[in-house]
Amino acid sequence: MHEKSNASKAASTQLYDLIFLSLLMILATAISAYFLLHQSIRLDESQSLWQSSRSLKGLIKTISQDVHMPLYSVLLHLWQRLVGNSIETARIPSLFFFLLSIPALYSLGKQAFQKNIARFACLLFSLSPFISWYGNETRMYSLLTLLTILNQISFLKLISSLQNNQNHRILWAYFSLTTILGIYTHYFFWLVLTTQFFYLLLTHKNLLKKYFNTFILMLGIILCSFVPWVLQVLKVGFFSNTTPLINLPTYLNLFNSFTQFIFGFQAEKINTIILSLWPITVLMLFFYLQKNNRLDKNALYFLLTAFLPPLLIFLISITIRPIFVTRYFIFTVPSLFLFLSWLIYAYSKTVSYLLKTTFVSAMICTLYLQNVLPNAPIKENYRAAASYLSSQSSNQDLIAISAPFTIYPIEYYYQGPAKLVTIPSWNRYEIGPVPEFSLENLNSESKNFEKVYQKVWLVLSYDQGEEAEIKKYFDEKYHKVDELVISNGLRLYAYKLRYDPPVSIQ
Amino acid sequence: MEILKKRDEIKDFLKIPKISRFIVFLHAGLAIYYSWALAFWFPSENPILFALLLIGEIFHLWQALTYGYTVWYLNDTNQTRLVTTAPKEALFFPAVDVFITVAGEPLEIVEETIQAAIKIDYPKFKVFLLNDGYILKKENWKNTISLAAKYKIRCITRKFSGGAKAGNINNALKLTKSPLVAILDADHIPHEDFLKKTVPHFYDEKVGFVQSPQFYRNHDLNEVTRAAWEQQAVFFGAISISKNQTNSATMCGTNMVIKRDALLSVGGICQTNIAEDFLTGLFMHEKGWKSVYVPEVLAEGLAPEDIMSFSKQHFRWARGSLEVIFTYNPIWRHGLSFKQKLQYLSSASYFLSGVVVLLNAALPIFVLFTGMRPLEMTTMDLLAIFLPYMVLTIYVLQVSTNYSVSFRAIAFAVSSFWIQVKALNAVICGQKSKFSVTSKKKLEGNFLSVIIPHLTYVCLAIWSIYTGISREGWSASVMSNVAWIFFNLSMFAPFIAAALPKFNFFEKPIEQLKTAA
Repeated sequence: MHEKSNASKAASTQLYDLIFLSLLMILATAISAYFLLHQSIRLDESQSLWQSSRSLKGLIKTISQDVHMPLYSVLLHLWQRLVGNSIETARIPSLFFFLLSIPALYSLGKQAFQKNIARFACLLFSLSPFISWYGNETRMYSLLTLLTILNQISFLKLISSLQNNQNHRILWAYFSLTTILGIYTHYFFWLVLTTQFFYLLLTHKNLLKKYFNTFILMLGIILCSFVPWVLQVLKVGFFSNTTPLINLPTYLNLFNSFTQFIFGFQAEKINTIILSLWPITVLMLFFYLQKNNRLDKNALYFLLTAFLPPLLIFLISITIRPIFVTRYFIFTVPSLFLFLSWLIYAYSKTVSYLLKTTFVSAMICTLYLQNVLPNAPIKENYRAAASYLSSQSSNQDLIAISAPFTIYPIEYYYQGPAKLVTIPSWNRYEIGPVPEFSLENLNSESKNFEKVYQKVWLVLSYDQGEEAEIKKYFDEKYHKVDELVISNGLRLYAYKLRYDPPVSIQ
Repeated sequence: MEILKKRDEIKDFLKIPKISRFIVFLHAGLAIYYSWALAFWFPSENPILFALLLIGEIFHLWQALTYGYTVWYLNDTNQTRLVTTAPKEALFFPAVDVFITVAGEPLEIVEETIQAAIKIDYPKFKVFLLNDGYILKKENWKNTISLAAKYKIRCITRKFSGGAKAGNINNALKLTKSPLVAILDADHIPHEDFLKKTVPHFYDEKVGFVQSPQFYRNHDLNEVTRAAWEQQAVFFGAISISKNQTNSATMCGTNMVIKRDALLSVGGICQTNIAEDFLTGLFMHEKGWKSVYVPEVLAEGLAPEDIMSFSKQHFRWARGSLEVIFTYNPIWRHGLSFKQKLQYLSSASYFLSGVVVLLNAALPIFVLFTGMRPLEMTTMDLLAIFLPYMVLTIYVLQVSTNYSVSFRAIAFAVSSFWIQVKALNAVICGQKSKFSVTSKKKLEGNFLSVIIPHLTYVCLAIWSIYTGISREGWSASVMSNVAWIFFNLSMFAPFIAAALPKFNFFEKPIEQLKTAA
């Protein structure tokens, strides 16, 4: 009788969880469908589309010159062959990985803590403006997040089984497989491995010693799987194509990353308020002080995996070379939410309730603000820019785009008669980096433009350090006839090159 | 079973925590780095505010370093310390006079203590009731004598006033003669093994006193008793265990055994200060006597049950300790070792923290009112140097106290700032303060007077936020100062709530507590 009631209780809990997770997935899909799936293509997305539209061989060659890994682009390539290459359909795989991450996160949370902590982490994850943004971007980030969660599930299961003296080969294989897939999704996945090693060193030295040979064998397999890619990269030259300009990060960038993970990309005023409220974090630390509140091993694991990678890369960036880009740390967000949820449940009931309500309300508000406000810093409205250009430009005009790689999203939407060029001039089909900007080159190129065209449309976005100089050059030399700010950092200017009709049109 | 488990958990504070010296060292490093950065890294904006900030930071640095120094010795607790305890075969059972000090406490409380004292498992001891009810004009002084008669123990009733509790004990010392004296407050019920666990330490002839923790059996009655106990747990846990390692145990006035010769060598219990126990311990250390702290609950007393009694108790401690700094500064006491000087100074100077809390709490209000800041720094710069230091501080606090420290304890400690400021004022102005025994029963009435400074802070905070936002809008500076005000208000909240009328939502029936204990 007792067993029967336990079984029915378990079944009803399972049903509850199933409904809860389904609702979260429906909610995430609805938010995506309403706000995000139909937005303008973003720069990175246009690159993904351009890369994946090539043949598989060409794709591998292009990616190996880039700063990324090929798995996502290969999957996108296959997907495009099935359904075509519109931006809306290309976003669907990312959304799919995002949605799959929700039950995966629940499984990870349930394994590490209790069900209610796992549920709350899933709620935060589904409402996260940051996660939903990248869950609708034609890039590798949501796949990276999913693979990190799967990898962490396998890692914790492996550690737990080893602690119980059960050495399951399947778990080693599962862990190795998710690691290899993760590494082939993003270079920063190595940071997941580094943190896991550090965690083992801190808390499970005995396991490292006992299974030393197996760990080495597994690492060997992972490294071997990486060798073909290293050879390919060496063959074409390191990151020789489109290395974006990454600025030296400041403390502001570091802390901003963590607030963005939770509250997304907000307009400057809102972001200032969020960041300035940091003393509340100190208060939360004090609230945590309760009798016998200890950081258990799993909480420590999520603490490390949430905070160590950004801190490590921040240190590398300020000492060796800037490589700090907030979105590259998306794989730390599930850990951050699990750690936060654990922390919130560790507080007294009243404080816990207050914090849960505050977090959920704040995230709903910031999700709305990020997706609705036109001045949210993440918005890239290339569609509006291209549409304006299509309607205003003629075959006697020239469209000059800087930074050069922003030609991809403009080209995607542009349907006018004017020719598109980049400043500095760049042939994407040639192996090698984007040429460096020089005023002399711009001067000689613009003299040629004058001979042929009547008007130049200058499209500026993604400043690579030369934007001000380009703008100044055109302002001083030509008569500005039009000016438009499309979205945050995306501006259009029109200059009259000459007033007599052109000699010929090329 | 559940009750037993709970009881064991309560006594976790006595487990010797293991804290890595690397962490303690790192914490000290971060504390120095933080203070250095504030002092030298950023240019100052307003010199007066900068000076005030610096004073506060120097004090915090002192607290961080002395706390680190104290818990540093936690790692040595497995080593044999300075004292040799009596081996079992030595049959070391010197006679003990057990003094129960009474100053008009309710008879039922005294009776419980007497009943437990006469049951102490020890071959040679006598129990004395030290009745100060007569000179304090307490109505029950005669009944106290009758109570002693009922249990056939001697009652020493003082007829000449002077010296408060210290005078009461010194009077009894003249009328008794055993080589050891155990002192228990009227509400501190000794365990049967009280003497068996403390007396063997006197086998070492240089041991002057043995102190055991001051455990509160009513610790779970309400928020005040919980806070009072949680503060005690930190002191009688990590701090006292560590102090023991440097022969600097603090004498706490109850639950202790003293060697008569040692006590007489310093002229008895000090009568010139209301923290008579603290100072008597210092004098004994100065004379070269050793001290021992036994980290075991051997007697159980009562915590103050209302905010007024809590405040009075803390005022007494603050006044006495601050007087030690100003009148008997350990630095100039020749007989003390460097380690003892440091320990006494760090304990006594704790009560200066009220001034620093007041400064820190006033700073954001001042900034919001005037727009002037102590330093030219962004809020992110402050975050970058402050947060790692604070995270590690909390970790060190947790681990070193065996996870017994609580937000409530810290909140009450921070909120006691005005009590400490008043005590400092009394010391500086030489005001007389009466020794008053902490009430053993919950006082009834309106205690809003205790929280007038806190309520004033709330009003000023609202006004300053309005002023700041009107002047600058929702700027980073305004918002971070608003957040600091919110931080301070959250710290004051439990204390304010405890002082509000009808604050007994979480109060448990005393019968239930007795069962748990």
